[in-house]
Amino acid sequence: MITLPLLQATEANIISTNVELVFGVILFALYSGVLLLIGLDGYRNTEVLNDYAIGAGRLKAWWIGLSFGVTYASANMFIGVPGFAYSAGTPALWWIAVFTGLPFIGIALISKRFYEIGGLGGQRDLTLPDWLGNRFDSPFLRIATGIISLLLAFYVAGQIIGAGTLFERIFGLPYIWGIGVSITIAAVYVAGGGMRSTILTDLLQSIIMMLIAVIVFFSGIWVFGWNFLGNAVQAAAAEGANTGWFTSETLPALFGGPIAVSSIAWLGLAFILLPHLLNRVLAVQNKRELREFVLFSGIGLFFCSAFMQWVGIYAYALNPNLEFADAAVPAYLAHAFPNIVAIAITVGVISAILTTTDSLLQGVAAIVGNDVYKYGVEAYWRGNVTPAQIKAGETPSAVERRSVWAARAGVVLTATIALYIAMARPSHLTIITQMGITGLLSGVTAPLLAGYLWRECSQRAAEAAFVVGFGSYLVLFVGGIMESFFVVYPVSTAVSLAVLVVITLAQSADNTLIDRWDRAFAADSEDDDRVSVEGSGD
Amino acid sequence: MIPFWQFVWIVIIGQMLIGAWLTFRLYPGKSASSNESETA
Repeated sequence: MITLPLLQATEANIISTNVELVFGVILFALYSGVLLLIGLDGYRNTEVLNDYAIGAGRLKAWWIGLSFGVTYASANMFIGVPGFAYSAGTPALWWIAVFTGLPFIGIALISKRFYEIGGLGGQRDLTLPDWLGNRFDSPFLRIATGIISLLLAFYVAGQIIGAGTLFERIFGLPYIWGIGVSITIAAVYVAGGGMRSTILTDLLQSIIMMLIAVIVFFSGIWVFGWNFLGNAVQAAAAEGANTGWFTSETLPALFGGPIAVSSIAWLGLAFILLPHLLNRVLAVQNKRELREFVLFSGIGLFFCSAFMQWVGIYAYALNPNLEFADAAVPAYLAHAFPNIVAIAITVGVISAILTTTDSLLQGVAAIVGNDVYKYGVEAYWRGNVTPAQIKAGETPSAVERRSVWAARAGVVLTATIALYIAMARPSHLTIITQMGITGLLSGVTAPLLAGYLWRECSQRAAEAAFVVGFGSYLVLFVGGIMESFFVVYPVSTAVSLAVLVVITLAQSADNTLIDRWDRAFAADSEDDDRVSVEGSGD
Repeated sequence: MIPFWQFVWIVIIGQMLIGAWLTFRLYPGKSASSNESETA
């Protein structure tokens, strides 16, 4: 079956000879081998759900931070976003203006208390639904957010569609093989090694991605001269590119004016609330390591986000007639680098796709294992364990083992759904990706913000806010009343927040939750000392 | 007025500096002794 891609490869973009193809295939095979070895290491280090979901506090804070940065940036930053700049000119640079520093500020603001609340009363929370369920003492919020987290399968599909397209263009591999290969590799090491493998592979991938971003960005020097950014923008303008602040023709929904830009900024900031990103905070070993975590998140975000989009401008300056905007990066690589280097860089870009795919699979799997299976099936339904026992870390080992395997089944389930969506090769990649994200965020944003900021927020209010937020999303977007998810998300969140405030104010104070909040913050500093003493032997 | 592409760099670097400042302001370092963690 290898002969088919070899024959097709002569038509591909960067690879023009069989020697180059063999080089690319060997590089990718070596790289996949390393990933699978990391998966094996993770498998050997995973016994209980705590290992699987958050790496049992044995991961270094700076690894987790870099992983946050590169997972946030995702493959889109290396393919789709330079494409925006290729088609819309400099106004598209608003994307990196809001998606680089704002998430860094956001995670700096939110990590501290999210971490503190996540450690209340026993074992550390393992997932976002776990955090919400414990914060509001609500089985409903836990199970409901757990189930809608499966919407992230759309996002996974978006990632592997990108990988399949890249494999097809670069290696000439049939699309279906490309999506199959990429999802299978990620699914195998995530199913095996959970959070440990996800973070360690992300560490390797983040170093590759940051190097690529910097090298490709500064390659502008030998293409356009020392003042490469100024010269590239001028050259693009000479070819008819928009070099102003806003665009009214191409992508006005994103970069058309202050309102459009504010709505993408809001989404960029809210993005850090997604379960596969916020669970990074919970994986940090102790409170003193949060600074290291947050700083390295910023470093990862900066290097993975601030540079690659400029390549869209470079590519336009060199050739304004590409058929697909997404081809801007491969086209530029082919122009600026010797083929062998361009191939190596492209294999690196595929690794960018895997960082997001693996984090999504791991995030959903941990939720399936912990919230849907361990709490939903074992505790609430079959009564094999009580929620109090789980929180105290006293789950019977048989239940614990079954939960880890449920999480692994969650990887297979999510990967299968994603593969099914991707097989149809939907034409609107961004819409597919954003559908999952917007739906999930519409439900969880209000409960999450209130859980974090508002001591008095009641259980019923948080539950109602979730239902109303997710319901508004269904009515407005799926029901076809509003077409832009950029607008649907702020609207459904606003409605959901309003419901939350009204219900909390209408009810009498929920003293159980308030007491727990007060005790937690009072006990917090002692707890921190205990954890760091335990951790010091590591 | 400065070209937009230069403005983008100013925005990005400005945000990174704010983020770094917040991080040092909000989080005690690893070497901090236990009484410093009270400043939260």
